[in-house]
Amino acid sequence: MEIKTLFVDATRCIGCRACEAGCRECDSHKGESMVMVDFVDRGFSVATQPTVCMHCEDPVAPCAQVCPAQAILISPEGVVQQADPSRCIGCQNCVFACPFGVPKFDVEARLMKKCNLCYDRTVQGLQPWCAQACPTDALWYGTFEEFAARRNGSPVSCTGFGEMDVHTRVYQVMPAGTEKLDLVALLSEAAEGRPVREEAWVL
Amino acid sequence: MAVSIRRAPGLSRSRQSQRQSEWLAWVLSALTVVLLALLIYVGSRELRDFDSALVGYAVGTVFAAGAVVYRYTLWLSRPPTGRYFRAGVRGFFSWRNFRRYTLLVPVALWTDIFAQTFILKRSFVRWLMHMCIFWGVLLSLAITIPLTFGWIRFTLEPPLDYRLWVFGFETVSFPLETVLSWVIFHALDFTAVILLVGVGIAFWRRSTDAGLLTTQRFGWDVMPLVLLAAIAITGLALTASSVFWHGAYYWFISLTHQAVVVTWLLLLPFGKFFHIVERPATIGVTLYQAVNQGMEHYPGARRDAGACRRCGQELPSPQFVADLQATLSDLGQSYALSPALGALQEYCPACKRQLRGRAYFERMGKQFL
Repeated sequence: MEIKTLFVDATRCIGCRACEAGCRECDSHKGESMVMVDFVDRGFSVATQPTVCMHCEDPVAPCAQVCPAQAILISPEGVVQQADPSRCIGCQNCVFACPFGVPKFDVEARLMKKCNLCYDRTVQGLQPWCAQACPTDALWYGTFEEFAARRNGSPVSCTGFGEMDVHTRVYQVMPAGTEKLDLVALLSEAAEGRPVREEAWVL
Repeated sequence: MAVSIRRAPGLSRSRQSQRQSEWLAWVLSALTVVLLALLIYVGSRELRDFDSALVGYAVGTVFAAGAVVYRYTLWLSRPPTGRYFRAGVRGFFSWRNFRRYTLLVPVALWTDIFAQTFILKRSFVRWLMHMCIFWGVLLSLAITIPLTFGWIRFTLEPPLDYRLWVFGFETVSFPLETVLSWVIFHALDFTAVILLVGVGIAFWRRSTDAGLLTTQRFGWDVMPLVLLAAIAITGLALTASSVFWHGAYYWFISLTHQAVVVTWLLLLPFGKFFHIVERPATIGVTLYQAVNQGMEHYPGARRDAGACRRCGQELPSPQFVADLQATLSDLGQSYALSPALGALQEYCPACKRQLRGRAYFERMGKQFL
């Protein structure tokens, strides 16, 4: 079976937040966006990055593994669902265990909420709202083969967090030949090459 | 669409410790069954007060109790659950709890179990539905279980009085054909009506809400409602048969009622209804986080928050972070980045995303693919 998934290309993100607006239309978390658009380095760059649930495959869903109530279930297609409301006991383990900073927590409702890849749409063959709404294809939905045929760049499904590599169902688009997004190595490079912040010049 | 939990490849719990947990679960479950059978024998005065017509309910309840204990023990053996359970029990018996959080458990019992005010924050209709189902089921069980175990029984005292016996001891008597006796004899009818209101709302939500329509699973979400509806309807039909139909179909209805109730009892440990015994763990989690970690759950609780390593935003206490890292370590995962960057769990969710974004743009530069 061909597996359709999301491809995130943050270089194309223009920070319009159409994905967030689209996400609020999802029937399983009405009126609330589970996509987050962040300024990556505010004060230095206008670059923005959209974050959706990466649907971790190996290790499979750390959020589900640290859940004491087994409230986070995984569909046969590998989609990590948001917490089952009847089971979530509000401990927030998932929120702080997620290596990608994805789950949101509603303190009053004692409920974790997160992107479930628009399960109501994707099971019917439709694309998730965020990909539907994105005007620049920074969030793009399709199969690996479709991506390779239509787009530049190499889809990378591995993110390195120090000694821990996390393989995800959702891809990040990177230059050809990149095997993984090595967080520690790249952040060390970034720290070395960072320019000195200039004070704002005011007349 | 079927949704199931999958275990992580190489999940760290060794096969030996898993086998130990299974043995413990079997032993505790067998002990529960024996203890309950003994309580039935003693409580019904060596089965003299036991109503053999209700044997199906009794056997089903005993099986369900054993199976619930089995599953609960295995559930507690999972690393995150076990950690919360042990620390929750320690927290409950700690001096700090009694001194500082005296009202935490009573307040949590109210907000999380009896009034379920947290569901009110999800939606009013949902809260109303759940309160009806919760109280309908709980009150029905509270009435049915002592009756089917032979722990309580009623006898007629001529000319027109009824006497209640509890564990073979004579207690109150009340006159027949009064409002009180009518209410007592129809108590299960009232609980059935409450239950039907809740099940009706649940069916309405599940057949109209587009989100629920896609994510609900028949066996997990719909089947329990069908069973509850069947129990309530057949239960009410028993009263209808004796009051309005001169006892017609009574035998058939009572057998059907028993069959659906026993099916419900047998499914209790395996399906959605397990959350009846699972959910009270919220109180343990609340206690653990408040007593051990100073997390604020209720007004007046003391805060002992940590701070994000990068932006300084409030995080749960350092102990929460340490415990979470220990749980992840039990699961064979470590997110220690480097001595300079620390561990990923020391960052708030927004900073985790921004760190990843910075790494990504460091690799990408000004490329546009």
